[in-house]
Amino acid sequence: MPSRSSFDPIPALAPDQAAPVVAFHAWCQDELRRRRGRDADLDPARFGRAARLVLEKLGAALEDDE
Amino acid sequence: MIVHRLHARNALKYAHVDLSDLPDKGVVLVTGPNESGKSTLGELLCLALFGRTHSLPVDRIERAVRWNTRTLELELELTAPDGNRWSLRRSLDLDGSPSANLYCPATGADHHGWQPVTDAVVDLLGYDFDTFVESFYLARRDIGPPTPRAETLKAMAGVLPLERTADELEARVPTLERRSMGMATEIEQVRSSLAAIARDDLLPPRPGAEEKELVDEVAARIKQLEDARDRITDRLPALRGAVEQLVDLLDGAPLSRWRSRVEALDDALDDVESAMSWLGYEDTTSGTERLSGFLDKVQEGVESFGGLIDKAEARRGWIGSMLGEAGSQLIEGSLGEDEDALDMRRQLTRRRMRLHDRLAVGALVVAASALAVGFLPIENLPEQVRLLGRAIGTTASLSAAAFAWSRSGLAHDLRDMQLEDAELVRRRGVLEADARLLEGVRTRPMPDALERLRQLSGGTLERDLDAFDAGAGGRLTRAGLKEKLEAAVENRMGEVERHLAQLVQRISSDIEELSAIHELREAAAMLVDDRRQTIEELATVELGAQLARGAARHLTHEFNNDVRKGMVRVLPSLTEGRYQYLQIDDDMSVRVFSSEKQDFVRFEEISGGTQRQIELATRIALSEAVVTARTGGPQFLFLDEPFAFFDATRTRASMTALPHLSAALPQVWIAAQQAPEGCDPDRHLELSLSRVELIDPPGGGI
Repeated sequence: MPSRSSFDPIPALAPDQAAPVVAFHAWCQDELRRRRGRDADLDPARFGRAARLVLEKLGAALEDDE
Repeated sequence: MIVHRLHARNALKYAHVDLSDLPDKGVVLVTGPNESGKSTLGELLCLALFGRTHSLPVDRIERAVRWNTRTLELELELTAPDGNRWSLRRSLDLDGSPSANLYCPATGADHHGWQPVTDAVVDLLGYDFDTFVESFYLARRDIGPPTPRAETLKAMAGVLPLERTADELEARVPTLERRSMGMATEIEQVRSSLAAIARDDLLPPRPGAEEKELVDEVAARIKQLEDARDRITDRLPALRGAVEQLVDLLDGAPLSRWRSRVEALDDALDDVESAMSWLGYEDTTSGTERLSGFLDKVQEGVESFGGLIDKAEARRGWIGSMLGEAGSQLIEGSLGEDEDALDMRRQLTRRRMRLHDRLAVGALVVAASALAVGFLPIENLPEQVRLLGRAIGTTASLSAAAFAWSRSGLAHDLRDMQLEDAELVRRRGVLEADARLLEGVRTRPMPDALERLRQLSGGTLERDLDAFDAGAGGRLTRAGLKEKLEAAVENRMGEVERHLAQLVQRISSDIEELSAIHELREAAAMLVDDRRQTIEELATVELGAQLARGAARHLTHEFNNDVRKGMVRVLPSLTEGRYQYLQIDDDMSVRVFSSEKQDFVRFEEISGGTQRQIELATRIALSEAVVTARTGGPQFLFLDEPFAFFDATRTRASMTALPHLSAALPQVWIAAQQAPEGCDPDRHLELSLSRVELIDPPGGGI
């Protein structure tokens, strides 16, 4: 099961997700790291909400979903 | 996925197909004239795997059953990307339901049902029908430039869902922007309405304050005005009562009642004035000023009366001390002390008089005796004795006289003391009369108390009484004053009531206006909050679209890299070195690098034959990329007429190169009109127009 840091705004994925979901999730985490390094005004919470929005549109099952 | 065996009965044109022991690696060449069933083999593979073909509508799949028969059977043995061998069966009965089974002897995995088996195949292979026909299955009709297939290529790369999500999110942006702008306009309108009301007197401007704070501020102001209005309305009867009660005191009341009534009126007035001062109106207290002035004068008079009473009580205390009353403090020179001293002196004088009486009598007795001795003819009495007797008698007589004189002096003193005593009795009488006048003076009505003070002996408080009469106190005791005061107070109270009624009216009107402001500010606060949320939603949606787009670009880039790597290897082999690089843009448009022109040229600019070579090379490179991205295991290719526009040289070169181009694509099915000259396929299936049974190797059919 994917682990998730308490400071990670991107919701964790449930196991066995479709390839585009997994690919997006991985890229998003890399992108967040990149932006954290270069963007002082980054709003991680908004980033997390945007990532969640896309994941939900992709039909991803998220760890914190009921 | 590698095909080991294909078996079919009554499927499309074939009555019976049984291709077994197919080679894992190498070329399976299918040759024959048009309509001989070469493409049908590809369709049978499609039908077995996905329950459909690209030539039949999905909802008319029963047309796959051979004419004049009722039941189609298909069986495929394959090695899946998981490395296991699987058996796949499908049956289509025109009189019953379609059925299917996917079974793995090694793991025991078993799936049943037409669609469930299709779904299990997609999961097992890692690609669906669309991806299959766009990559591993090159049908004759598909030959053409790859650009129109950008959507499918994107699907292969896994990009399409991301792009669709990005499109969907971007489509929401204008709506959200319009909503935000609409809200901004509404907020401006509400603020204009607020500016038009502008009650700076009640609500000082608060630049920079949050809308929510302003809403709370108006609500607090309304509450304050309502409280003030209620307090003024509630306290008004108490104020009138207090005024009337105070005026009633003019009939005569003790100091304590004056004070309590003055205090009550003061409190009632304070209550009303403090309620008014809450309002923050500039001119609120003017209506009560005259009543306050009246109260101040009454208060002054009462305090003056209080001063008199204090002095009277002090006088009463002094009298008590003078009289030596029990519980009072003794003072030097008091009447009691004088009386005691006089009494003591009187007793002492009397004792001394009695002593002098006795001494005079004694002296007379001694004098008589001694004189008798001196003068009486007593025989044989010596002369000296007679002389001594005379001397003693004389001395004693003198002493008796002295004592008598002294006693008369004491008697005189005693008479003086009687006079002194009479004076003391008189003084006591005066003091006791004053004491009676002063008794309970604090609790007596003011006129009675004043009259008693005037009766005190010796005009004791006369000057104080004169000052009282001349000052504020006199107003409270003047004859006929009550009627005048009643009228004046009624007049003033009437003014207060009228003023307060106007004030209450003004407050009510202000409350109504503030309520309107409150509603507008609430609306503004709600709009500001909604707009903030909309702006946040907009930012989130835009960022989401940006992320989906970014991830799509990334995946496209990765996929293209895989395709390019494949192309670098495949393209020179199929074009005999004339074209070496392929460039696929993010929109999946294709350009190739021409060794002759030393530049990238657009796909449409090159010859038809070369386009087909590039198309074939692209197919192979794409298939390889899909294997890498999606399946991970060796994969068969089915190429239907791939050399249709090739000349003999190109056909031969391609045929030779194909089995060796990619380790990921070891099994290559090629359908062609004729076997290219000089080729040596690993299995060669030769078809004819009339042949409806295809069993290979011969005798291997079931």
